[in-house]
Amino acid sequence: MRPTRRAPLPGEVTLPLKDALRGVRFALRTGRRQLDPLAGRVPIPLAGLAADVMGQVDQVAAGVEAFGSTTAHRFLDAPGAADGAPDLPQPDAGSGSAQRFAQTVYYGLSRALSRLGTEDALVSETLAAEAFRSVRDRTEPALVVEDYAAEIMRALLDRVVAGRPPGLTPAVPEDQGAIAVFAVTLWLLVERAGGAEDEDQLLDTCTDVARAQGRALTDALPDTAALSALLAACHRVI
Amino acid sequence: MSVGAHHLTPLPVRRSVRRLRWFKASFRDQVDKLSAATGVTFDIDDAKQGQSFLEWLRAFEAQKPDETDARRDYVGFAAGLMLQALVRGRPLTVRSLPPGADTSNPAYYWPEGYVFVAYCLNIRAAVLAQDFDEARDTAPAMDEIRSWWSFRENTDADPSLAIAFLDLFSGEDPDWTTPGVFAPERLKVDAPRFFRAAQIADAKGR
Repeated sequence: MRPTRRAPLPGEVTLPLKDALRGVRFALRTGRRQLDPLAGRVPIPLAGLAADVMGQVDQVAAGVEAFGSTTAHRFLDAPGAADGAPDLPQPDAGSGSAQRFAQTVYYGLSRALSRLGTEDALVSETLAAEAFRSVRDRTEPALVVEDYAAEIMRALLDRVVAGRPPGLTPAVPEDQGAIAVFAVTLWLLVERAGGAEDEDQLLDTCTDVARAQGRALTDALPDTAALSALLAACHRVI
Repeated sequence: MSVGAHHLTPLPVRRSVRRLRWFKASFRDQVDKLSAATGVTFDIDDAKQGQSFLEWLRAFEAQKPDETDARRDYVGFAAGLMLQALVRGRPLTVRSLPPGADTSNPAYYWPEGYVFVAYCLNIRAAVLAQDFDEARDTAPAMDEIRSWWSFRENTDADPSLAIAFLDLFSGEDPDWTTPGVFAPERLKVDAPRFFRAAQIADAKGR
């Protein structure tokens, strides 16, 4: 008998759920790593007990991992999920565009941060979708594309879309977060050369260009017009 | 040898080469062609390649002349700047040489350097052919191992000398004193005259 497919949940529900699942998984992984060296300090008679407890933590983590990936997979497979070349959704894009944008930003930021050397970052799809909606709801349709991209970039940065849960320090360094968001915004801006384009390579290229901006990016961050000009300059060399 | 990856964009080479995607694709194409011809295998460091490109682009923009009649000379200089950026950034490493590789052949003596030079000469030749209808060939120094000993040793100490060596390999007159400063041929010819004029003016002023 074919399994019945559940009706996809709306983005307002799935995005916070995915964030929550990733948060739990992240906390368990981090906690496990922090406990590991402590377990070695437990006196010999209690070492077995400590090992049992750690084993149970691992089982919980594995369970959450399995549940999280199955559930997230179901959400990702839902209609409206990211497919085709990533791009900047137009301000007048229909329903589902915020969810698609959030998934793309999640993927892009995770990869860009990893290339910059930050592996354990939590990227919030909920906040990414919120950032897009905030710009969409106030943007005039005739805006220059780089201006629009700069507005979206500012909204992503203001909401600290890439971070770490409180208490799990160190946080993602602010400059790395800004470089990663700049890289993803560029990635969404760049026109594709056709079917041969490798999206991961393109994102890496955008990350390298973003990283090379250094002081120019730091100086442009507070000013949307300056950000737009920098995005346009970098757009031309990719 | 030819420069590949034209498929990425229909722009002329002088413009395409200022785009990182095209640079990466055409450089990979060059590496693949030299690997097939020599049997040397390489690893490309993608991040270093990007850094070399961006360093080159900054240097290129910094000295780009406004005068139209300096454009032809700037093609050779820009290719030299690219060689300087590649030699400094070293985005390529040899994974393996073929058995019995003859290291008195420049392509085996310094395979990474050989790829860099071949790439820069190809870019230079492609732009000169497209924009100035000039067919270019390499100079005998390109095949002389002594030139390569000197090239490797000197650019290790000072990567800006790569600009002069690319001129040497392409049969142009190298500037060994200030290779990193662009001086079009017209200016080189006029410079002594300017200098004498300044001396005369100075003498009259006294």
